[in-house]
Amino acid sequence: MFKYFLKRLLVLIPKLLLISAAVFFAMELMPGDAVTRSIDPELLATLQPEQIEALKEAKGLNNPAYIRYFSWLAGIFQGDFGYSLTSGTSIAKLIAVRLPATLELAVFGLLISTVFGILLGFVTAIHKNTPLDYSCTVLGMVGISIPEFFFGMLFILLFAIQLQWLPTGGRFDLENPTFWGHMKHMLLPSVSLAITLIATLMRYTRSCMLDVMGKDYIKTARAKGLRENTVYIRHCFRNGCAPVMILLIGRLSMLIAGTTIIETIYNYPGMGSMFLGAVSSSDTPVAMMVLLLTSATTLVCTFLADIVIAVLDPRIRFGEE
Amino acid sequence: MKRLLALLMALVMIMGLAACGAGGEDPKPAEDDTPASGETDASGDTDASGETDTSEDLNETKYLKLVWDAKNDTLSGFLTPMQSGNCQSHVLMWSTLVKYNIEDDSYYSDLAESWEIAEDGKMYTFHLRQDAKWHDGEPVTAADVVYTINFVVKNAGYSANKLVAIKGYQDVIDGVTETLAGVTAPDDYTVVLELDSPNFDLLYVFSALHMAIVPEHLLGTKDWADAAADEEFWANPVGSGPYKVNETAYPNYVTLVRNDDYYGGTAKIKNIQLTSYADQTAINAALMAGDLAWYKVQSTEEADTITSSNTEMEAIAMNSEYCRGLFMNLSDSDTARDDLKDPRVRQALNMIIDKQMIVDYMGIIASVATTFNYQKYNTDIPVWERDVDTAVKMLEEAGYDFDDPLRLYTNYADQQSHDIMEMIVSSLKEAGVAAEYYVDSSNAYSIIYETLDFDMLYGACLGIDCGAFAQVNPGALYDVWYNDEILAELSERYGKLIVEYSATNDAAKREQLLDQLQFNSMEDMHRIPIWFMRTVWIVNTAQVEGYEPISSSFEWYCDGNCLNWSFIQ
Repeated sequence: MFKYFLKRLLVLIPKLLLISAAVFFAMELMPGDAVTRSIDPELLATLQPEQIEALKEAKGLNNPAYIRYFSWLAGIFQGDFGYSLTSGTSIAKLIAVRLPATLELAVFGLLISTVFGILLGFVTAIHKNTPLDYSCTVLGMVGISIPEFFFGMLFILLFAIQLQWLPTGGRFDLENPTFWGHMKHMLLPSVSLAITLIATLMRYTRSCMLDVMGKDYIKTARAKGLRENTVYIRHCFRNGCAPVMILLIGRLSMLIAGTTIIETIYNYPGMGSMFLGAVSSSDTPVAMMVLLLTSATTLVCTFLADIVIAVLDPRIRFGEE
Repeated sequence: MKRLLALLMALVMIMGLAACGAGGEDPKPAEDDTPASGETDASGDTDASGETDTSEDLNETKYLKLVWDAKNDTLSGFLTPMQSGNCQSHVLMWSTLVKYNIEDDSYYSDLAESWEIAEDGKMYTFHLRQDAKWHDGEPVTAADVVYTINFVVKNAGYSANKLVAIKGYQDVIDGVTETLAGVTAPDDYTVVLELDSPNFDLLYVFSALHMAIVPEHLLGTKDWADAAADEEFWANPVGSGPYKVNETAYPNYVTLVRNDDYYGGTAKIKNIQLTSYADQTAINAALMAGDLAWYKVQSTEEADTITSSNTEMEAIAMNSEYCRGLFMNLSDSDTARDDLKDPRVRQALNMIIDKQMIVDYMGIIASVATTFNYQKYNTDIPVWERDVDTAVKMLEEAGYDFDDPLRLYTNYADQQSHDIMEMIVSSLKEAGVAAEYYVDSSNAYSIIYETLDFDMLYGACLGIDCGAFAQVNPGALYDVWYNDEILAELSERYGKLIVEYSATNDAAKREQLLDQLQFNSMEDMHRIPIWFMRTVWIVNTAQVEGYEPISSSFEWYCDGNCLNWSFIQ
């Protein structure tokens, strides 16, 4: 099995290279470049053509696409992430300041969704075919069907504008620079991010719990005289939560990728909003770097999920006859 | 094993959350935030019992929250005045030689206490005030001004090509010399500019924030390009304005703190927070929630939505110099139509388009371009009223092909622009002129300056140029829109007059030239002005007082009278 996982790990590299090449050349197909897309046409009108060419030359935009791609790749292997075409700032610095914002949203969103998703799934499994179960089923459908950005805008309208309980966006409150002040800024975006996953986890947990509740060893546990709570928690939940944990690990990368829209709506200065800005201004190096990191996170999370499967369930043996 | 794994995962998540959630360092308090023990704060009163009234003075404790309006929001670039139009923070941190009052078209002193312009318009002498200091305590001197002018030219700053008249400009561009021969400092507080040709309009250039004076003692030791790219400096720049940088926490916010040594007086509000917003929607949400003191909006609907949902917000519409209009493709390219080159056709199209309908639709953010609302306009000059019948006759006389659809293009993809294009097309169709439009914002540069795939381009320009006279800037990118004959016409009917305008200080002569330029523009109709933009500011009048929105869209002239801003206690 060790060889299997080693091979899986090594395959990550060509996968990442393929993804980076696909995205780079896809961005090349977009009309315009970093100079013409980041400067308003009215402002461009006052410049001489030579000035615009000089700007493009300075940013290396006149080189063929494949040369720019390989130059970028060579830089990555040397630890040089390059510079933003629109701002000239080191991309490593840009990532360093924005990554914590994205991670905290994703992790907090994961925590919220884990707690509420599993709890609701647990409760609805126990109270199957009751009004509570039906209500949660409907809410679950709503949560899965409606996109996160809609909830985001709804929360801003309700909690920030109408009720003024929470801020409309941003990351810090200078007039309340405490942990709770920061939490107030994190709450709405994290909840918006977590809603879909709560709904998914709730349904999945319920399904896993119901599956386990029908097993013979549960009947045995009841026959032994164990209390219902003990049966549900120590036997049903513990045996049913393994697939749920695997789902969670896989979803972490989706949460990170999903912050793009939420960060924009809530003006939360993370990687997602930086990525959107980079794409709209054809800032290819920044967009490429964010995509590479997101892809790497997704692949690593998938890999970790496989490890967790193998560890949690001794019946599964990868790579063995 | 399973339990250990679960515990490990939980621990990693908690640690990660704790590490990220603090967001790095705690926000840095403003300097001298807390009074020393035994002292009272600014609002402290002592009552009869001898005890101090500790009611809070909001000007000292509260942050004035504004938008960080940077186009290139970067670690350093947002604070660089030369390349971006980030007015709100620049006007607070930087100083210029002079300031411009758009209401009466006059100049008043900033770093330059007084100035003289030679009678022949070829020499400017600026006398600097001697009490101006940089935020690090060093005095502002003539060396800083000389350095700044050279810095802008060497680094192709936004205003660089407006300094072309200064002696030695071309030598610097060609690399023959390092600095401009025509910029000298005979003493520590005098700067002399010598020009190759007369120009009485340079004060306009030096009033712009793109010509904000930068410290030579901090940047002068570096190579020109290195100084412009010095992240360490530009992330925490040293200016000479009424506010100085307290903390930069890019990309979250920047805080400024009052400069108590500012030569122009002391501001009332101590702390300002500038926050970057992803887009106008986020800004509007913040305005509705009362999280911002003021900002501008793009449409009447936005203004109405914000003011109706938050009654503390007031919408104030200010005239601006920006105009939206239709620019003609008058080139000889395959995509151009020949009948547009006949001025009768252009005049007729101007008379057909129902501008009042468009302005009525736009609401408070627009006014009809023909009612010139800029003080330089002469309203006695004949304007073209809507007259469809006369226009159709003119088109017929000019042999216009009514069936060949006029192709309109714009790169503005917002709904409002779509609606305006629809209205222009429909008013043309009402007169029997076939027309169609398309929108493409992703390929704008290529369409506008390379393929010229349009007959008329809906875009923006400066009001005085759009409605009055064509912007003449030889060799500029938009010259591709004109064939040689029209370029020669532009040079004769506008270029010469503009040069003559800048070369004279005679007020009557200048007025006469301006009138002639406006008249020529209305006659030639190279550009059809549609509507003048008005900037609508949403101001939280229940929170702050003393803010005066500027009557201009020109970001680099915004002032707002920051010394008078004050929280309502």
